[in-house]
Amino acid sequence: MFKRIYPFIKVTFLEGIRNRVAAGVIIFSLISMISNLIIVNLAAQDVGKVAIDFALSSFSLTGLLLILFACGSSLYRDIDKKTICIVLSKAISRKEYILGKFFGYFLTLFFVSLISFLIGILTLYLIKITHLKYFTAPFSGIFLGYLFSFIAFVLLLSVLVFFTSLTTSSFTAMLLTVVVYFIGNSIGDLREFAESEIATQAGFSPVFKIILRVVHFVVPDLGKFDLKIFSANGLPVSFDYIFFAISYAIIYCTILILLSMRAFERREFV
Amino acid sequence: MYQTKVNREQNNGNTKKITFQNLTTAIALIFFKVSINLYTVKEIILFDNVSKTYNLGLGKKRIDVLFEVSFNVNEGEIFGFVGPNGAGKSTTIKLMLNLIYPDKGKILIFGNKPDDTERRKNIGYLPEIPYYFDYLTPEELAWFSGKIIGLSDGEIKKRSDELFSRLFFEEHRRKKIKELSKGNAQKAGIVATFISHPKLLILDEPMTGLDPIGRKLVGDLILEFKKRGHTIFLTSHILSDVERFCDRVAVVYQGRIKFCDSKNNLLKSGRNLEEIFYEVIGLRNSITTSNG
Repeated sequence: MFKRIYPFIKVTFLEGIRNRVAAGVIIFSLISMISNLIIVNLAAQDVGKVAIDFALSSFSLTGLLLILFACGSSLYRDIDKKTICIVLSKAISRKEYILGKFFGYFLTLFFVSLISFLIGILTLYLIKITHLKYFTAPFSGIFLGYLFSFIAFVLLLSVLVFFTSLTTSSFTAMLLTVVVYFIGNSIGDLREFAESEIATQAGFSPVFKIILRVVHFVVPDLGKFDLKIFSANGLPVSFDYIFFAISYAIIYCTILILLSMRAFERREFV
Repeated sequence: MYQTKVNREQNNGNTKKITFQNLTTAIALIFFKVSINLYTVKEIILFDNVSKTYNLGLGKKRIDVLFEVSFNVNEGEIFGFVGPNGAGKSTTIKLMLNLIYPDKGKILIFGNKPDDTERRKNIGYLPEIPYYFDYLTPEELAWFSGKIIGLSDGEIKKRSDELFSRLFFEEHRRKKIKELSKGNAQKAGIVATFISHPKLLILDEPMTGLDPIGRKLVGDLILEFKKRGHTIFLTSHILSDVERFCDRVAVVYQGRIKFCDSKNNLLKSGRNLEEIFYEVIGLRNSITTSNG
């Protein structure tokens, strides 16, 4: 199957990286890292923490922008402008179309994220050698922070592909993906708070707790992949946590892609 | 005397004996089957009582697009499918390509249902509006179309070189499609469609946006593919083109096939396609009146 969808993965990747948004995102990474070099001078003794936090935050924003405006706009062209009809008229099944799109965008994300990562890590290295005393966090933790952010991008990408397979307008799909991004980033903390002693004492509604549980189960817990605090403070992350989070991402992505394939099979391209 | 026993092969100790009588019967049977195949016209496209209604979403009205449409396209012929805007031409093509599904009726392409992905290797589709991948070049688009059906890089280069050269399109082959004019984007699509040498070509308004030279070149290409035995399903608003290229023509109006006949019969009747077209859509009288 992969031999057959390889050409489609390649053209999706080429479309992704040639999109002006990809170049814009890389320029954004450069500008934010230059800003990082300036901002850390105001951070006194927290240079390392601020620099890492800023670098990982801008990397996360880079991913979100890329998914929404490069992958999302490409999907818009495919569906709203009927390019999809040309692809599906060839020897590509609808399932293969979904797989091809997902892996093509995955490669685009990987390529642009790699460049953003290199820019970020180089900046952090420069900050470290200029502020050696106040930059104590190990680079292994920073790498892990970047890796987990990338995994969150892939999760969000599968969400975008899923909504695209369900909705008739790609704009709706993009909007729903943004909603999932914001809910997914806070749902873990919200649920933790709702189930804490403080919330119970404050008279938190049990119905609301159940709703939060359901939402937490359905929406991807993107907060799990936010390791900024760990990376910035040089805190260790357990192997169990890493294993669980990566397994969760793989299972979640697989389920969403399978559901997307199923939904796409029934869809008509009028 | 007549029976010549021939030991053909020994298999597990059993000797197969083929008598002269059996041999002649077998030869006669093969000859009969070959003759039948030679004289049986293969149906490449079959539409049997196909109906289609679009449901435009919750609370919105349903639009009936096709009503019990039946026609067939035989191997090696050019079949013209004409009709005014909104008659159901694009819907018919989308049904063939499995982009939408019929509510009623049967559709067979190469004897199989349209959802057979493998069979689509033999189909080349040229859409009316050339919305291809904006950031690809015509050369990459051709590579994609060739690679999908398993052509080698060398073969793709050979075929695309020939097509780019025939369409006088070489200078644009490495430009991004979004930078091309509508006519040149259409040419990029033509190369991508013809590169796979598909047994069935579905051409939706292939001359759209082309200049007179482009139209001539594409017309030559269509006729050449017909000569090679390829089947072509052609829709066009340019009735003279349809008359020139097609062996058979169907006129669709308001979702129904109102006319379907061969070009020869059309010529014998002493009328041209334009007259029939206007008659079908009920404009004949008004045009005659306006012409005095």
